[in-house]
Amino acid sequence: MNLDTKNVYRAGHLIPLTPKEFGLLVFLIKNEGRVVSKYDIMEQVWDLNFDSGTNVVEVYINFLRKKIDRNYEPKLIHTKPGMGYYLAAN
Amino acid sequence: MNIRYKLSLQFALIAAGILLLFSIIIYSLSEYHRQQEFFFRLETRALTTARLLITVKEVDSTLLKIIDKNSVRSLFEEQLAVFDEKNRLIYSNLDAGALSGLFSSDFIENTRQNGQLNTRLGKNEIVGLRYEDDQLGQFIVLVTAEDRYGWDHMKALKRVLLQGFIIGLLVIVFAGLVFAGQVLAPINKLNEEIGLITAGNLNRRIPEGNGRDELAILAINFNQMLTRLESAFDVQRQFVSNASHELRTPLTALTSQIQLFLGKERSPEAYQSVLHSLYEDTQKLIALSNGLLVLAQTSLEKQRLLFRPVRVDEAVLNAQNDLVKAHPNYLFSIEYVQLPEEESLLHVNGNETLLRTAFTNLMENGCKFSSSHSVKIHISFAPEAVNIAFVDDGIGIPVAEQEHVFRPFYRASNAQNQTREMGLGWP
Repeated sequence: MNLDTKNVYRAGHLIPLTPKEFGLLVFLIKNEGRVVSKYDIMEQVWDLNFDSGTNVVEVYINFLRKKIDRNYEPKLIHTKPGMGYYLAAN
Repeated sequence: MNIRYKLSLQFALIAAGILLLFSIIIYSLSEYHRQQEFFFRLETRALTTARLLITVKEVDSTLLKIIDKNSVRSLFEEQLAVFDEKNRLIYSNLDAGALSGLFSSDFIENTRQNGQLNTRLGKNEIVGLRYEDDQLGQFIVLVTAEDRYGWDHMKALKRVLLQGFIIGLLVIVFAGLVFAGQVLAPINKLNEEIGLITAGNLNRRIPEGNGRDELAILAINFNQMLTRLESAFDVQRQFVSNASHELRTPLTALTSQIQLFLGKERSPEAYQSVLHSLYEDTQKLIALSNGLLVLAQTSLEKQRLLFRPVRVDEAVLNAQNDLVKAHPNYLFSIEYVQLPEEESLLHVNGNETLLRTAFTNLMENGCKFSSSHSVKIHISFAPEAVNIAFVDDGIGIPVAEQEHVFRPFYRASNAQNQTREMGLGWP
């Protein structure tokens, strides 16, 4: 990941991410191995006030997973049901 | 050349052509009939002479000549000759040698072969006739004369036709001018009426005549164009007046605030607080004038806007970001009604900045006019489209006024006193 050009590569391939997806990935990498909740993501990644009705985070995690993990091994983004998400290489 | 003269000229040319053709036909037919009639007279004359000379025994050439010379109804410049089988001249009404040589031996031969020959030589018509007598054999009678009477008639006819043609032509030209003038009069009237319309009286309309013919349709179309122009003009005018009003109010407020504050000595805290308030007002003014600029550019440069695929949900999130920074008490809840399987479902072709502005306005309005200061945003997908619903529990817009929401600065009647904010209207 190049923070200056905001380009992300996996296995040598450039992965096109939107700014919000990029922010989310940066946050997950910073907190590698740690479970982050929807609340954390809303507040800290996107500066948004949290509302329980929203499913924005699910949608973005879903997209990010498709772009980062779908065609690659090992899977990096994991879900801890009822708690949040974490990034890990195993 | 204006249309009136062009029309009358074309009209005159066509009518003159017809008149000329007509005259020529009349003249030619008359000439044909004159000649036929004269041939018939010559033929009768030849036959009579032949009978008298050849068949009637009592009449010999001397007597016939006397008769011919004293005939009252003789033809003008008449020459008559009778030849026998060997082409010898046996009788002529003129003295010998006075024949003008109109009768060539070829002509006599041709007559002998054909039985009768009618032709014309210069002013003279010639008829040759073969006459058979049982005892005396075959004779050729040739008669020629000038049809002076007929020619006089033809001259008179020519004169009459020429006069008729000239008079007719004059009448046609005059009638054409009058006719073209009449046809074009409504257009001239239309021109005068149109000339009276200026930017100052765009509400003026031109008379639409009977509402059916081409000119009426032209007038109706012109009036419709005027209506569109007028409304465009009105929008511009209203925009300018609204814009200056919207800018004047906060500027006046700023001025009076400064005047009031300068009235006496204040504590440093008071200065700070007032400067802070002034700063906020100035920021609002800047935002307002920026908005005005964007609005003006958007309406003027629609063609030059850059359209590219935009992730609409991100435009909504960015709008939310902007709004929450300015109004921390505003609450937005974004919900995808269906979970999008593919990112492409969320791509629309648009201008990201303008979309973001539009969403910001909708969301801000929703919060501003609802007591809970919250807006729910529902994103769903239709084939080829993304539906985004902005739901608030505010006062809404009366149905009758909903058509006005795209007018700059428009504020619904039930929202007039709700807020002192300035609004640019929905883009």
